[in-house]
Amino acid sequence: MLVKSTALVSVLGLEDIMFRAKNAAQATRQPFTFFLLTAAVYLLITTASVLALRWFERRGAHGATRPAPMPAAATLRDAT
Amino acid sequence: MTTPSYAAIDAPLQAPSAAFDTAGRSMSGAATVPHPLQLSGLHKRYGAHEVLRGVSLTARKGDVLSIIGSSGSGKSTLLRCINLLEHPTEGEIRVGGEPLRLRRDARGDLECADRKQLQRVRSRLAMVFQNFNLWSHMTVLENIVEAPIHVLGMRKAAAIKAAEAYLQKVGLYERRHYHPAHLSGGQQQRAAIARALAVEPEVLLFDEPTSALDPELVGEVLRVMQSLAQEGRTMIVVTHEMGFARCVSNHAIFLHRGLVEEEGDPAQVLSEPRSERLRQFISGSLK
Amino acid sequence: MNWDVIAEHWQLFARGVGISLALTAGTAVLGLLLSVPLAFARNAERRLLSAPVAAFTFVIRGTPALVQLYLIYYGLSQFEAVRGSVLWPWLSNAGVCALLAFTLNTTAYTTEIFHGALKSLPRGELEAAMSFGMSRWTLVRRILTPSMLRRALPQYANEIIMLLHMSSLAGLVTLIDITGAARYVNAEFYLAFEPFITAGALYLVITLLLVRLFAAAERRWLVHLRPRTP
Repeated sequence: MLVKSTALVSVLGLEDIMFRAKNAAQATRQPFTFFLLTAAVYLLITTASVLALRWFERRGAHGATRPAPMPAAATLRDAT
Repeated sequence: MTTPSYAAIDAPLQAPSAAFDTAGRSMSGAATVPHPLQLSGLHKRYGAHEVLRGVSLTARKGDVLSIIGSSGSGKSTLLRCINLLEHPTEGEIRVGGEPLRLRRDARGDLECADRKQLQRVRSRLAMVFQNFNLWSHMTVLENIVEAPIHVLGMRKAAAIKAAEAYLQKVGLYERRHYHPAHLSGGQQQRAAIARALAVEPEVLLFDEPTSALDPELVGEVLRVMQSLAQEGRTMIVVTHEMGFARCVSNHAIFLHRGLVEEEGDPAQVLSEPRSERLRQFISGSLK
Repeated sequence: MNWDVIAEHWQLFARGVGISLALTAGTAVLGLLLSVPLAFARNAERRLLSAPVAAFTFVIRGTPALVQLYLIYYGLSQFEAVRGSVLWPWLSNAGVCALLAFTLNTTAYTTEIFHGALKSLPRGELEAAMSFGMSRWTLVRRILTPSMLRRALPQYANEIIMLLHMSSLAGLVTLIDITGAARYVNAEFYLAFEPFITAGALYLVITLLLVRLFAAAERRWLVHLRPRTP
């Protein structure tokens, strides 16, 4: 469950990072490389926070019941 | 808690003739008119657990078969194998004499080998579910005309006209523009029955139609089912309602642990059961 | 406070509104068309279908929209192959790049929204449709998609509003939408408060209109999910 990262991003100083990345991109004439790196960094941060959230959720949910998962039988393939 | 009354019915509709063996299979050679439904040697295994261990049944035209048994006996699974909502592990299914073409799937069960045939055969059957399963984003009327228009290819005006007749029959004409969520359980089930009737099926399949209903609402649904039986429709009903099995159906099948333990004329089978397990089952049930 | 400058440049802001709306609407339509089939793919049993879509939504939702926009607008020009290709006139155009970036972004979010709605559909309704002999295509068209879209409506409304706000990034890549107009006035006249308050107000008005629009849509299409009045 990925929360839209706009709030998180401002905390991490997106504008500052993007400003620097843009400068570096223009200086080296390699915008794609630099922005891709930036994207990768953000993806890593997001992934780490998602995993951390899931870990906390699992710990916090000890004893809390979850609704039984639906049996997987009826899928579109059974429409044959 | 009122017991549904069947005062109008004294005798079952059709006494099973002697030309059929205990498993319900015809003993005379090839029938001149194919039976609406024939199941032979149905097995169903989930991993190590065998739910059906060789069940056969035959429904002749106008039969009202009731299938009874405790939970886990395999009765719902049996019904759902008929229209291949469940994939049997072994067995043959014949609808109107036409055997379903099957092949092995990845799990070792039998799946449909001919999609067009399955769709065609399914359109000749109709199922009424325990949880109604009406399409929630459509009104009652839209639910009823959906299959006639989009599966059978009926014209919209004709389908609506026919639907309104079925709505009158189940007593829901005034609520035809309601959505299922705004109807009581009994009304939803009656709508589901009208939806099943609208495709004019050869066999009506009922999967514990009253089990999810409050007791006061059970009667209205059973009354509708009784009138269908009186019209001579072929019905297979998985049910806990012993009264219905005894008074409305003409053949009762008691399933226990995936096998037919006992079957026959409901009046005999249910009042003078030969098998010990059936006796226990009946005494343990409410009626 | 110098509001005269704003008043003098009302046409700039008006045109900005037009561009913001066009960009939002265009992105929304494209995103919707892409998301419906992708949601089904995301929900497929076969990993070959569902995994790529899941990867796509994960990456797009895990990176800021601004980075995605810069990657397409600035980043693609890094490659000789792109500059020489027949698509270059399109890919060097700021409007096209913004549309492309925003469409990818909203498609990812909308696909996840629709996927969630699709997963939540009552399995029994699917079984009933199959039991009547409906073909797969009829099932998808008549039962699954209408029900999925209706259930997704509240979250989708939110997504469209977020899309409107995301479109403000277009002002950072030379487009003169609402934010672009505000930045122009800011740069030319050294005013900060007036132009950006104006931009904010314009976005607010559009947002309120969208909220009204979706509330009406919910009233019409979510009748069936309202609780039963005794």
